[in-house]
Amino acid sequence: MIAIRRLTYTYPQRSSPALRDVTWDVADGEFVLVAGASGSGKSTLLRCLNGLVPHFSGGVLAGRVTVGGIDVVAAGPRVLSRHVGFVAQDPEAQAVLDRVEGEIAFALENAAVPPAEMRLRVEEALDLVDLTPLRDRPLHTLSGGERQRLAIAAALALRPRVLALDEPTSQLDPQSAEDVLRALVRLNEDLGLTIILAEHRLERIARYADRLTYLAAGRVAHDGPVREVLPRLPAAPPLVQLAGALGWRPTPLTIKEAKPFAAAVTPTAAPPAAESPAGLPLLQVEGLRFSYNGHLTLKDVNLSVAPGEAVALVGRNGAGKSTLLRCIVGLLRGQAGEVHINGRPARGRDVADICREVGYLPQNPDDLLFADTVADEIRATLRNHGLPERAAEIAASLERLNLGDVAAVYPRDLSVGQRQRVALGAVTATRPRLLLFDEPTRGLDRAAKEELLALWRGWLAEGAALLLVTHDVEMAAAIAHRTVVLSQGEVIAAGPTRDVLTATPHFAPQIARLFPGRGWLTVADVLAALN
Amino acid sequence: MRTFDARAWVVWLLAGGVLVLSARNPLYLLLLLVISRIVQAACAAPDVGALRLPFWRLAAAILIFSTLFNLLTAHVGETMLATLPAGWWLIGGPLTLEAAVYGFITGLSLVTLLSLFLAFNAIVPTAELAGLTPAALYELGLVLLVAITYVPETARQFRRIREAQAIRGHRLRGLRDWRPIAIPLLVGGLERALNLAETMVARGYGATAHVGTPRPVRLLLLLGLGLALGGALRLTWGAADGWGFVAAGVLAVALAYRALSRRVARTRYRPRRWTWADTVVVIAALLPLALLLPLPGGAGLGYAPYPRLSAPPFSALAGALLLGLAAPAALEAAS
Repeated sequence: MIAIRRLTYTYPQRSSPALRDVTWDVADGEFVLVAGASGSGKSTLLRCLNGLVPHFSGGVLAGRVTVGGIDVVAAGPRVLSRHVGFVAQDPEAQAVLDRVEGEIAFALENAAVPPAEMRLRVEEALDLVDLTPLRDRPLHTLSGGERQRLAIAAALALRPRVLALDEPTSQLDPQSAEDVLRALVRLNEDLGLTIILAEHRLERIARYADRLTYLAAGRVAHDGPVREVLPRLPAAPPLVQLAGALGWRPTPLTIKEAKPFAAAVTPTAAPPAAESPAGLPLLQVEGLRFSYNGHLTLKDVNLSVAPGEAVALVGRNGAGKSTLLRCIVGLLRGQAGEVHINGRPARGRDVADICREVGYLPQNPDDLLFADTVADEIRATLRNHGLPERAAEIAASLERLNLGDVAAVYPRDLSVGQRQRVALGAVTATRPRLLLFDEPTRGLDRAAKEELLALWRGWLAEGAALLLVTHDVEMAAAIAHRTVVLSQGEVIAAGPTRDVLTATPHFAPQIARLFPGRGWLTVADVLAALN
Repeated sequence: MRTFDARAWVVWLLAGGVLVLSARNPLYLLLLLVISRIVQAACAAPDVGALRLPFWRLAAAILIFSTLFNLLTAHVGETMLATLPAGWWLIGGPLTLEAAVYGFITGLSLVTLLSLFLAFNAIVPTAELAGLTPAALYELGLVLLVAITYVPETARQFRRIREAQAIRGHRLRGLRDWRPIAIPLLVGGLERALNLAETMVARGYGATAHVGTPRPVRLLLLLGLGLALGGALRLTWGAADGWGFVAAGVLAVALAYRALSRRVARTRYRPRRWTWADTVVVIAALLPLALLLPLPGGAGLGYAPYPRLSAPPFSALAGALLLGLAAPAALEAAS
């Protein structure tokens, strides 16, 4: 179906190629996962399949790409649109029109499909991704997952034989991501559609894929059946890591497959619960209530975070997690209840005043970045607060964020993980001890996550308090002392992370689901207990 | 729920607008105002995303302002209410009831026009309006459609960026303080636009572009524009035959676009079929226009309170004809 021969491609105004000497084949009906760190060339490879590279992006390309016998570079994206459906990362940025049906019909109108057949194809595309009930809805009323499935339907309308998806779930919460992935599996199994999926969340999709291609620095580093390649990857899911450490063969990809191996692990005492640091709380929320348009989004929320403590706040989309953070920093005013920061009530203080003592990193760090260099971003915050700009201190804090060698670089040229750390530097320039994070791991690859974890551990050791709003339960399991579950604006569970995450199957990490009732959350927990 | 063709609604709006502008009789204006409100209530879908204005408050403000303004500035009429010292600039002189009534009628005509536009805006989805552009000008309509999704997203982005800057202690005081908001908005907007363009290309947009324009069509277009320009010049010289030139020019341009549109290989999803109900709406809207307008000035829908106030005349026939504009509501209720 797809044949790539000795492909080397360089983006315009870049010195090093994004893809180096790639030779790669995909058979008809195969489901291929493309993995790799940020900037490893996944997106570029996918865009080579429908001619967006080089026709849309420019640059220099050598080698040959054919899809279904068509030379992609010669034919261009317009011809290829009938053969390769393409879905990009951000569901918000790929809607052309404002109605569900119109959006799907867009590609068909361009291809001058007769109206009678168009009705049929729109119907079919809606059906394939389970969007039929939403057919008349305006787009802004759709959730992220629904919009992403709509993007898939729009790509399917031309009945392509290949579907290429560039991290379609990275901006979604786990439930929506699951819906999107399930739709893909059905398309592959029922229609025999060839699917090329670039993904970070390998644990959920690994068992469905036939093959895994791992890219590193623009080269195909590993390529083969998922079960063989996965254990060799640095970013393997916890289950696979554990299987590697304990020598389980063949490598299990699902909890079900791993159960027989897990039964052989002799039970030992649960590891001692991590002591939650005590002390005068840096953040104390009491009876907070917030309603918006007559709809109660926070109901009598109580929460406290002590120095040296990390608290994870989990819950489904729309549970009120982000609202809570915005109430704490004063962007929203609760109708009732009190917020104390460092023992002082926050009521009546303005946002800038509160944020001298609180570092809050919003979901999209790009919203913060405007300066010409990384160091200027830090200076801008200091200037806002009327604080002195000492070069040595700025250099030290950049060093700490591992941004020392990019201090003079334009922030938007950096990778996702680096940009996030620049934003983090900007909101923590006043050296606050209380830090709030909204979905900090969204869109990050494994290496960036590890770097963030190391940074957090350092801060915690110095007595900072962290409140993390996250969908990433593996992350919560790795760092949080306590976990709070929010549902429809109410705290429905709170306590040590070990107890809360193992008690709710919906939020349980892989290891907890594999060993229920043993109190293990991470690979490290298991290995520590066995040695 | 019955929906009518966007073209029928355009005819409805134009007919209603011309009637409102030519009617000076408050009774007829009131009738048109009520009709337009009823039609909006009957035909507007709840979620079209129409402009939400506090209509009645706005209407009251327009009426009061217009009445007071004319009362204070027009000193004509026979029923005197009070007299302001003649030395006062502009407002000095007798204040008459007739002037107040005339101002009120002007206000009522404005309010009715506004009501017609609001009804049209609430009823016809913008997407269908853009669909009225000829196929050769498809890109123009598409830009409008893309803007419908793009603009609200930019507004959301603006709010997000303001919050993000606020939490790093940013305050909006002077012009320079806009930089931290403007730059992320601009860069983010460009990134979004690039992503969108990429999506459109990946879905085959532009596959039908680069349609050549044949020489006869080009000449026809040029001829049409020339005729329209010549006609406009003739009109400014006061020659009545200018209208003929303009009409011929418009016809030539329309024919050229028709020829161009035929060459564009695109199809439309769910093209609306013209139904008998659409025909009824168009005829019912054009009938009062055709029958009431040619009547010599004042006898049809006109009315003047000067020099002495008298009750405005009301003809049952004219009233009945105006009810034709309520046809969409009646058809809607009947279905």
